[in-house]
Amino acid sequence: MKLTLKYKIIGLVLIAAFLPVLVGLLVTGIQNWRISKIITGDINMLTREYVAQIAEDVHGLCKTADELVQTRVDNSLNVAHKILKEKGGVSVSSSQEVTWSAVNQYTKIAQTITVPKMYVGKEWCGHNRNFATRTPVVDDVKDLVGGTCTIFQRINEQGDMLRIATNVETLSKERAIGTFIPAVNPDGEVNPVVSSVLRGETYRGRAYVVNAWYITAYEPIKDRDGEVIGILYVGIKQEAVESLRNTIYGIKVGETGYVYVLGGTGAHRGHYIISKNGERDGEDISNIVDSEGTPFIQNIVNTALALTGGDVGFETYAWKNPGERKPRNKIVAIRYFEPWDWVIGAGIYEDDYYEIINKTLAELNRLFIWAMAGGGIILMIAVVIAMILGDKIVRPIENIISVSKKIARGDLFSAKQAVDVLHDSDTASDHGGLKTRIFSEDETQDLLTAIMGMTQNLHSLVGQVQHSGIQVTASTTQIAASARELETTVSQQAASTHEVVTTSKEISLTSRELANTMNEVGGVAVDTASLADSGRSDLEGMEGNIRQLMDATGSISSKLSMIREKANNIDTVITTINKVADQTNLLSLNASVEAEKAGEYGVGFSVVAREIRRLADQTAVATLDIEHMVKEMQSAVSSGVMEMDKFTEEVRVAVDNIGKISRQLELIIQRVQALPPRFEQVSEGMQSQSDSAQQISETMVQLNEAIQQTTLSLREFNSATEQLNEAARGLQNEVSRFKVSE
Amino acid sequence: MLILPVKVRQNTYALDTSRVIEVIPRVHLKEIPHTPEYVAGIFTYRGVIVPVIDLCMLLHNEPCAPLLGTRIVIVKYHGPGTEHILGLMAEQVTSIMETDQDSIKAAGVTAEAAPYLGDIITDQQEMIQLVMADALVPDALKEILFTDQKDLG
Repeated sequence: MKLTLKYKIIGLVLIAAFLPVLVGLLVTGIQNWRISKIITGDINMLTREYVAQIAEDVHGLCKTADELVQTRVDNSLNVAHKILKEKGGVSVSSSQEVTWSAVNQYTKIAQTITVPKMYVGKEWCGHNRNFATRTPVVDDVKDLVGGTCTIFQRINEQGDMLRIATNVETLSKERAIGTFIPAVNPDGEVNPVVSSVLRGETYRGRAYVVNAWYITAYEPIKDRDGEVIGILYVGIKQEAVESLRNTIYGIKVGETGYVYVLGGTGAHRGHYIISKNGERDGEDISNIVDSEGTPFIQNIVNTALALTGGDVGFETYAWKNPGERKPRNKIVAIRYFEPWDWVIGAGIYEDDYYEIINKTLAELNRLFIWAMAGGGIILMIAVVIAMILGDKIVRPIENIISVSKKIARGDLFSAKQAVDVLHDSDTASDHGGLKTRIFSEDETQDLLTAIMGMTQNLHSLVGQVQHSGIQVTASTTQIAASARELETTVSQQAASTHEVVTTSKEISLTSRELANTMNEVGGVAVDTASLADSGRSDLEGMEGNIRQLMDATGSISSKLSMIREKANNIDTVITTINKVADQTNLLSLNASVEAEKAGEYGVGFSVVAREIRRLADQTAVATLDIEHMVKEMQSAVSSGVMEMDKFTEEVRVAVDNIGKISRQLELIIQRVQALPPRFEQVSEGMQSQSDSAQQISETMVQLNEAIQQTTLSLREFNSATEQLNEAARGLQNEVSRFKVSE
Repeated sequence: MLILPVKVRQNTYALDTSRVIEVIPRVHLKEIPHTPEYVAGIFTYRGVIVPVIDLCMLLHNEPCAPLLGTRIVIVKYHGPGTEHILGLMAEQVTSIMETDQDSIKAAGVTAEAAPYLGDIITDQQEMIQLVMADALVPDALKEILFTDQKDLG
């Protein structure tokens, strides 16, 4: 919530008025609290002393009663003792026996025993449970002094003592006999009564007989030899003085408090012995807890048992009686009466004494309320005055605030209008009217003037700033766009440069590899040239050989031609011979024919003719053979010539081919020999190319770094531009909130 | 008896030398048109036009091979009442054989179309059949062949 000036003024006045009121109230309150505390403490102290005194009184009563009872017990013992003596003493029969069902008084285990009869004088103590029948001695004691009396018989060497005659009444209205006190208790300890008696001493103490506490005395009964054969017991009820109980019942503590007695130890610990009006006597309240869950009875008993001498203990607990809605704090003074094992409590409810405190506190509270009411009235008056004053002070400031708010909203136009209106009205109405009074004071007048000036100045200034802001924004936007384009370009350039670097590196590598390869190729070319050279020399040798062969073939061919010619000559000769032979044959034939014609004269001639004819025949045959041989020779020569011609032709072709091959080889050799220098040139070129590529790569890397720096610079420039733009835009935004025209 | 064996193809025939005038080498013959083919032609023998019969053509319908052994045998032809000179051309006319009369046997078989084939001479190696020169030229041809020949008688 916004605190306006008006409320602040009101608040100031209110605080000024409220503080004294508050202090007054505080002082009153503290004083109240202190007084009530002192009163409460004092009253509590008084209460404690009061209940302690009551507890002490009860304790004194008990002590007196106890002393009375002790005296009575001594008297009773004396009477019983005297009666026994008068009757003739106690004796045990040596012949007569009686059978008992003896019950251990602690364990309740029964056992059947047989013991000699016991006599008092000449009278058998008997086996009498009936009160209608008299039992000697014990009934006499009752008649005379009114206490309880019992005669025990020792039933064994250990000293177990069997009740054989008594005037004690059981709950079933019989005489309480047949039970025995064992010499050794069930817990293994020696029974104090029996051990005292066996030592010949009289035992005195409290005993819970049947259903009440008794102050008792056990006296040993001895035979003539001084042997303990039994016990004479007398007991007086602890509360023999009935008026004690009634007195305690009658004690009132405060309004509703009372006195009660609890058992301190043993089986009766925490049991009511004396309760309020005797309503709950004998009840076990040891485990009850108060409304806060505290086992206060246990606490009380523990406190009581821890007390020494004449001390009084205190316990406080919250207790809710039946029929009451809330638990009430109860204070108890505790006293322990040891002889009877009584825990005496004198209890009082705290609120019994609170009435006084409450009355005092009520008066104090009334005082406090009055103080508050007075303070409230003062405050209200202060508020009214503050509101009137505050309004007067605040009104003009509120007007100026409304103008300022318009300026703050940026609505300079309406702010200017509003200021003009205020100014006009202030100057227009000179006398009377609220507005005149509003600006009559100096401070507000000055403030208004200042506001007016400020408004007008702001109006013009903002107008200019808006205009400039728009221009600046436009310029920065352009710059940013340009820078971004430049950055993109530079980035692209960087990428390109990077590619160039990569490429030139690859070129360098490739060139170097290529140069190596060229060197190898050069080596191979040299080898090839030498190989071709040797091949060419081999070919030249072969060509010479073939040329010789061709020459040889030519001579063979001419020789063959000669042979053919000779063979032809032979043929001619043979033809001639053949013709001659033919003529001869013909001649011989005709000669024979003529010789025949000549008859007897021609016989010799006929023989000659026949011989001639035979010669001619032989010649013909021989020439035929020769002719045949010559013919064969001629054909052989002819085919030989033909073969030779073919061979010659082939050889010639071979020579030509070899010549061609040789020439080609020469060409190859020349070219191959021309190659290595070129390879070297290429290799050198490659090397220089590689170097150049390396240089390009390095240069490119440098260029790339430069580009990266440029990019970074551009980026910075960009961000600077962005910031500028942002600033300009912010300025524009800020300024645009100012409205300078309608 | 002396015979002049000639060969016509594989077979050997023979002429009686008594009728042989001369054996001459094969000469150029003038052919005579419109004569049977076995008439090889004519030539002049010692001033006399002598017709030449090609025995190879006549007997085997095939001309004689132009060999040195092929010769023309000039024989006397005795026609009825006339005597003419006739050339017979045959192959391997190169020998003269002497036979006795015992080895001449009659042929036993005569062909109507070849009346000029006569007895058979059994030689050691072959059979030689004699050729009768007189029966060589049929009558119809005589007039054509020997028109200008006079009896040489």
